[in-house]
Amino acid sequence: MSTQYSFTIPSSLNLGNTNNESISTDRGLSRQVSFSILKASFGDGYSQRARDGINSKKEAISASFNNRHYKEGNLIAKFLDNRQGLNFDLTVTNTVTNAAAETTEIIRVTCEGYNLVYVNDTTVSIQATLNRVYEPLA
Amino acid sequence: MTDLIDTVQELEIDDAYLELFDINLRWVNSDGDLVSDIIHLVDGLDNDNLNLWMPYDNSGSLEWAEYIACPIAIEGVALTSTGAPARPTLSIANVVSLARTISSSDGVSYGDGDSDETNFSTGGSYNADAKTVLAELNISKNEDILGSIVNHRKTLRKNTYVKISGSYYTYSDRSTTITGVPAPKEFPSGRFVLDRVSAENNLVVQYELASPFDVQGLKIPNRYVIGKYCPWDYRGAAGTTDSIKSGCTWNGGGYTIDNDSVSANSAGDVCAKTVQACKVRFHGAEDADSDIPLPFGGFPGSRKFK
Repeated sequence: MSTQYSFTIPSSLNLGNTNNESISTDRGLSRQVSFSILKASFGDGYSQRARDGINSKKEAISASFNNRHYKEGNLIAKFLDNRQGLNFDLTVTNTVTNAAAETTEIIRVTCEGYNLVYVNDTTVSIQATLNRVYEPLA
Repeated sequence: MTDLIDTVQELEIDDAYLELFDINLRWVNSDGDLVSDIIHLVDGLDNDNLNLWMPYDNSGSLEWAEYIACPIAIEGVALTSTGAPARPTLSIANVVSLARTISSSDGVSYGDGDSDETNFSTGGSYNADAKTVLAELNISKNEDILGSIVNHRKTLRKNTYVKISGSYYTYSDRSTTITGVPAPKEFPSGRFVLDRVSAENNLVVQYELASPFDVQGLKIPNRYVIGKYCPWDYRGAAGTTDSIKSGCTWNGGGYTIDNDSVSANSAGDVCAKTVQACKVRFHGAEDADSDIPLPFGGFPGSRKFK
């Protein structure tokens, strides 16, 4: 289940991790979705609507990494520092009712800032807002 | 087109409205020649990181065009029946990306449908920096592409195509291969001329667009109405098609200014620029009666009658 809200920090970024680290977000990951709709309003309560552009779905994702071991938290922070302005892949679940198997989708996101809290000597918490982008992998 | 009309009659159009841009880029190359090339841009990338494809009319023949995803937007398109025509604004984030699609130094496999043409960066398969691409085309500033013609196309997403592994599919159905080049289904397109740079900053350049009929100083049909004399270059169309300078098609023997005697060589070959001089050449005599149309550049009918 945990891999359904996760991203991978590859060792190739030279952030200090020797293996690719899969980071799962806390429970409570929220996706704020809004659609770009072209809308022409007419008279008595009706309107004509069409989607605007190829990618009309906008998403803002609130991800939390609370009470992590400070080494993991620092790695997440380092990764977000490394990716600032660049996109990365986030895996989220998209299994539907009565589906034969668990499935996930990979959405591409950017992080424009995060909040890092040093809870105590060995624990840190991070809250980050991710925005979905539709573009090639950076 | 019928399909489009059927769709837009509905209140709930279960489709996306897309704007595509064909820009006939015109610039002066390093040899001093005015050259042009058509580039195709769209303001978004397909969810699978595939570029959109759409047929377009290239001088009478339908051809596939790959629409490169590019930060581009048009604003202020309007039709008015009175007053001056609207002058929309075309905003482009990265003029360099226009040039790279037609430059040979970009090192990208152009036309494969993948999205790698949309990024402009060094490393990977992109081995040319912006300066190199622009220098090759001799485009050094935003004003260098003024006069280019923008074809603003509008359609619905279901009428666009994607190219996967060399085969074309419609946007929505990616299991049935398209054979041949289908006729494009689109709304009536608008043509504009890049008239001037209205704003530029470190993020975008904005071009003010003009209707082709609204370009300052341009005369339609680009000729002065002169009654008595022909303004065309003598023998201007007598050579190869590459060197046509005017509509004068005379390629026979030379005449002197007196119009009545053919000189043995064309040393004294001069045209008097009058209708009479034209008739002597094409009809054989100044007062000859002939049905052969004269390639006369003036407008004899515009002269005053006394």
